[in-house]
Amino acid sequence: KVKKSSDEDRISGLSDDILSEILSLLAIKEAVGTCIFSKRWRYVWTFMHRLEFDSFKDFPSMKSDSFTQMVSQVVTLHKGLNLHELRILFNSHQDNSFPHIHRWIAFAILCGTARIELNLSMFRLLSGFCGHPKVTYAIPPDFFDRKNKAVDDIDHYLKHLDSNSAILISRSGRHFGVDNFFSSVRDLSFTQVYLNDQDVENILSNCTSLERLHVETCSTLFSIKHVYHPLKLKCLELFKCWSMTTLEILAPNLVTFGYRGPKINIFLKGVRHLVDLTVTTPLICLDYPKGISYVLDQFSCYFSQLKVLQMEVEAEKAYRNVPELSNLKLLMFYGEKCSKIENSTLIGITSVIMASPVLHRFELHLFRHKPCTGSGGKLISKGPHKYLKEVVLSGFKGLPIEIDFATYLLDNAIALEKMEIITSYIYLLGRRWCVAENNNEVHSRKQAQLFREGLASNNRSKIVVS
Amino acid sequence: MASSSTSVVVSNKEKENKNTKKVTLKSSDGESFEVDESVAMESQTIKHIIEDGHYSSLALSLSVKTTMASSSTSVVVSNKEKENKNTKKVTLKSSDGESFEVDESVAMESQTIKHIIEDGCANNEIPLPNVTSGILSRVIEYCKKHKEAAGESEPSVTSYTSNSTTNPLTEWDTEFVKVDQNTLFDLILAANYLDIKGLLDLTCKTVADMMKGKTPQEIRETFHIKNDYTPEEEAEVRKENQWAFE
Repeated sequence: KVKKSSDEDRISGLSDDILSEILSLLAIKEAVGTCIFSKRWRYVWTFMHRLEFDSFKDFPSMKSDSFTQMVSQVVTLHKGLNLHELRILFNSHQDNSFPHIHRWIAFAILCGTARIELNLSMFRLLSGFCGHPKVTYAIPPDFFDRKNKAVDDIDHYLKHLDSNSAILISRSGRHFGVDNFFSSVRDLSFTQVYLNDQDVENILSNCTSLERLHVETCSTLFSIKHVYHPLKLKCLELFKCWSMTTLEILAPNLVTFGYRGPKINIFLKGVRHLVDLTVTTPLICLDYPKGISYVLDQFSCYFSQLKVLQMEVEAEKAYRNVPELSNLKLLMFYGEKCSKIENSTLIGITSVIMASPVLHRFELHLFRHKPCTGSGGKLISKGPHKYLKEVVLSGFKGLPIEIDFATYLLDNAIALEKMEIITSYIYLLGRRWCVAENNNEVHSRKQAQLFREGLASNNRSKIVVS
Repeated sequence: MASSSTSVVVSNKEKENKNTKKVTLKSSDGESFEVDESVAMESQTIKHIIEDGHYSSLALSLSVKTTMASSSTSVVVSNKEKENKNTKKVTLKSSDGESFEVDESVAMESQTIKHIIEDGCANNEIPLPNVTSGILSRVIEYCKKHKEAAGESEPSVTSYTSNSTTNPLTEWDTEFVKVDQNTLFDLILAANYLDIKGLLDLTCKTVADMMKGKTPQEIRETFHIKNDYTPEEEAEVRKENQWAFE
């Protein structure tokens, strides 16, 4: 038996497979940096299962040319085996980077990468509008087209790759025999990338294993219509595609649907399994009934199956009955920037809460909302809610209307265990949550504490201010 | 016990295999369900009827419709099966000859062992020549703990402010991997060989955390890696991936 001394190099003895598993957990710079350890380590990183280049998080001061070169260098050296995920977050829109971006996506497709994300967004903070890009990267025409043209295109991109990509080229040779290049892709995410209707149609038709499609900030997308063949899609997210006019899909496996855009007619056919719905439509779309009414019109037939529902609040002038949300466990509302929160808004919100008999958690995220004239007025109790356990109220400013609402919840949610009052602003960017500081933090916090102190002791213990 | 609405049809047919004695239960709307006697005896009512002896035919008109009856029998059946499964044990034998008896369900946390059992090659003792007793006992501890926890937790709907750790055993796991390097690498190898994803992920993450934030030289020292590059080779490697060293 070999006695294992305490200073033996055990790590280098692990297989490439296990080591690349470990490296996939590190940031790309550290992972590639392992090449310097010893000869054994030189190419271990080239077997990594995931590649993530987040220019905002990991390379904030890197110039865009250097960033482009770095990614292309990695793509060239990486063996392209077993790559599950390629994520690139990059905020430059100089057109000299575009041919490189074509290569990166071609590389990912050729390697059979399951999850591909390309985020070229300029928006990093809601409050700081970084400006429109001068030029926006567009997916090359017919890139996702299965017919011969795509094969030629990828071959064309390959010719740009350096000699070390002999492996890639030989694999692509095998692939040319494969009917469908795109059959491994399961998760595609494009943000601030121009796709047109034909691109999305090609994606939906040819990426036969596609489970998630996320398209954000794409003004060149007008219509998605795919109703003849059922999609395997489980998650569809369309955010800020302001030119959309039509959305019609046959997606019997759809579980999650997220939408932020113009108030169009949305036809999701056969979605018996839809449980997670996020729909937000901004105030500027004046041509349609507001806020919750839009959601009711389009999606009330699914209300009884939903488990998660996220909507935007708007002042409601008239109000309709909400069909029962018999399975809803999580309800989130958020108010967009500078919206006015009025009494009718809260009546609308409480209607939805009361229509959700098994609701476990409720969140209301207000964002720089304006104080409205007059106090909250009367919120009429419709009976106790026997199930609601957790409440989160963020963007709290201590306005009378907020106090009234919190009181209403405390009085009526008889099973309530915890109410969290957060003074910072929490908002959704696409599907990510971000935090922004409240300028009146001190005042808001004080108001929240005052509110808390003024409650009966059993209620006081339920409140947490943060 | 046997109220006006209940009576049992018991078919006492003895089959070729004497071990599986069956009874037939007939629901109120005429549908018959044949089940193992032992399964039917999950119902105390039926048990008494059968035990009370002589019957040529008695009719059990359950005052429930067909669907309910079938669902309750299927529940009965599966409970019984589950009971049986829970108490089934396997023996795992380490490379240094020590035997460990564990519940089959716990052992099946390892995909490797699962396949061996399902292929029928188990014979109740499974030799694991690549795993020593010290490591095997730890691995078993991990599997037991995680199997228990899996039974209890209910997947909850999470949102921004709720803690999105889907692992309620985070603290336990952290303690579990506080071991010396040799043990840690042995655990990695064992988790890989036995194909236990959770344990492999945990141990790999531990190693990755040991590497984070350190310079290459610091990492070499931590893991006793010997730098065998010549100065020229090292310069070449640095140049190839220049950006990683800036």
